[in-house]
Amino acid sequence: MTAVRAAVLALLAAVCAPALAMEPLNDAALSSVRGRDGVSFDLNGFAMSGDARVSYTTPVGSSLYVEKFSASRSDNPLPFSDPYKLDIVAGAPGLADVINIAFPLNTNADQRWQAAYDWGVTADGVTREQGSVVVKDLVFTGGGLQFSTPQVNDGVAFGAALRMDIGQLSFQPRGRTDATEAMVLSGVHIGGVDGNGVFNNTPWMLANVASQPAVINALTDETGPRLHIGIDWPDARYGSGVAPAGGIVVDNISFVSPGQPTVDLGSSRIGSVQIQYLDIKFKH
Amino acid sequence: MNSFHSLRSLWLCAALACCTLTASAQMQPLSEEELSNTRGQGLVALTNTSLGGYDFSKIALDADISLSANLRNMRLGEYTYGARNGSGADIDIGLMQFGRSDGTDAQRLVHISNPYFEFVYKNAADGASREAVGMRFGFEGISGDIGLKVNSLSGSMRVTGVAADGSAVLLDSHTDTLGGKRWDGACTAPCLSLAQLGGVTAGDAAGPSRDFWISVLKTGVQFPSAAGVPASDAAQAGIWMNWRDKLQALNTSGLVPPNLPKGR
Repeated sequence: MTAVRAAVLALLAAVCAPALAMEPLNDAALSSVRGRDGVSFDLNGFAMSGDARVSYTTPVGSSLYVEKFSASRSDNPLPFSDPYKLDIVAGAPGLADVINIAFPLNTNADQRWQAAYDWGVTADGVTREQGSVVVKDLVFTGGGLQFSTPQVNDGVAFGAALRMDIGQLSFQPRGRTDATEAMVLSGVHIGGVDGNGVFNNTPWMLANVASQPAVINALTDETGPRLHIGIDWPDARYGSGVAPAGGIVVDNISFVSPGQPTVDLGSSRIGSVQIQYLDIKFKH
Repeated sequence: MNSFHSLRSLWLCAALACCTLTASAQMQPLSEEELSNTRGQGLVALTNTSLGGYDFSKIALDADISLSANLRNMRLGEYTYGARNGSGADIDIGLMQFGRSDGTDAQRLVHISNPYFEFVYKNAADGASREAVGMRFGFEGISGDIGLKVNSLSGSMRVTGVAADGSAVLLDSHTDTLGGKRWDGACTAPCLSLAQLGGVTAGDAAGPSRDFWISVLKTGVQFPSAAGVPASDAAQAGIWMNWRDKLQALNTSGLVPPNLPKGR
């Protein structure tokens, strides 16, 4: 009883301890105060499947469809320990704030995706079922997306960084359950590289809202409004002025077919890719 | 009662608005010329064709693209090829630079139209017996200066050039006895070898170069050509690059022009 009373007294003393005196903030101090809020979300154990079909039909009536999409993710032993993080962060000096979506660090590559979908093309009076695309052990390691206000023009500025490994990507014309007939890309790797074209275990920054912004908007030229996606020149005011380099490696490309020898085309790589400027305007 | 009146007034206004809209939005006939100028806006263009026992499905981005980019150390198809192993890869390109920074602002960019993927299958009665043969990636049009350092090539390539003495020289993979498979570009003078090629100007005053593509195939395939474009050579198995239309050599010294970003 005495112990309990002592504990209660100690708690009361702590609660009733005099608060630190409040201090007024001057304008400079007030302007530097920022919220520290953010949102994190996880896709721990995510899985989906179904018969849904998405079709894109061109103005001339041909169409492309994707259907029966399935995806699932395996995870590390600690659920929700490595989530996606969405934060509003300060932009570079003179630039607007940035919505930053950071992908899981996934340091040990525990978060692995398995996915598959069927697809087909209808054109020139023919519908061709292309079969299935099957993705095994897709791993994203870090990277993410940024969104902000463009420095010039209207639209949305964005940044993107990618480090991705795929265990196997196969195109199976006879369906996802028949892997005996396929074009198979094994060990697909995309990520940042150093000056020698060697992967440096960092994401490849394809665009950055400050140092090399990408933008999506509608531009009007003499033919009317056009959907526009672009990546601007690297801006030395906010970075090195050099476009980051990324590498693309496929460990093996092969063709398998029942009753035929496997055709092995070995490995392929592009040691270093720098996108210095990209401007895509969709046609009318 | 007041609320009933209000409701009735609202319906009347809506009906009036509808009538007004109907009157003002009457369809107008288009002349033949106006009709021919009317096009829908699409993101992709889709094509299904068949040729030589193969089915082709092509998905092209319906877009105009301007690009400055540098690709280094590109080695595609690293496997042993008994007839001629060469550098050990079907395509060995040390440098491929879209654009150049030592000229005018316009020369900084390369212009591309309708990049595409095309999937190839062996003809089959149904999906259950369809056979995957491969795919190709290409551009329906490309124009501008592309710096190149090609070590060896599996493909079909033709480039015209002007030698230092002013004479016309030609690089043509047709001169290779193996049809361009792992070709090192060597040739007997007078000619333009791959080693002498520092890049190409794609396209001319009449339009862009229209036959750049790279294929990945398990067997040789004759790809269909777009309307108005000469038939390309058949692609051989492995990784294969085709580029013959409207290419002029940037130089015959083998020097690749720089392609630095703006401000560097």
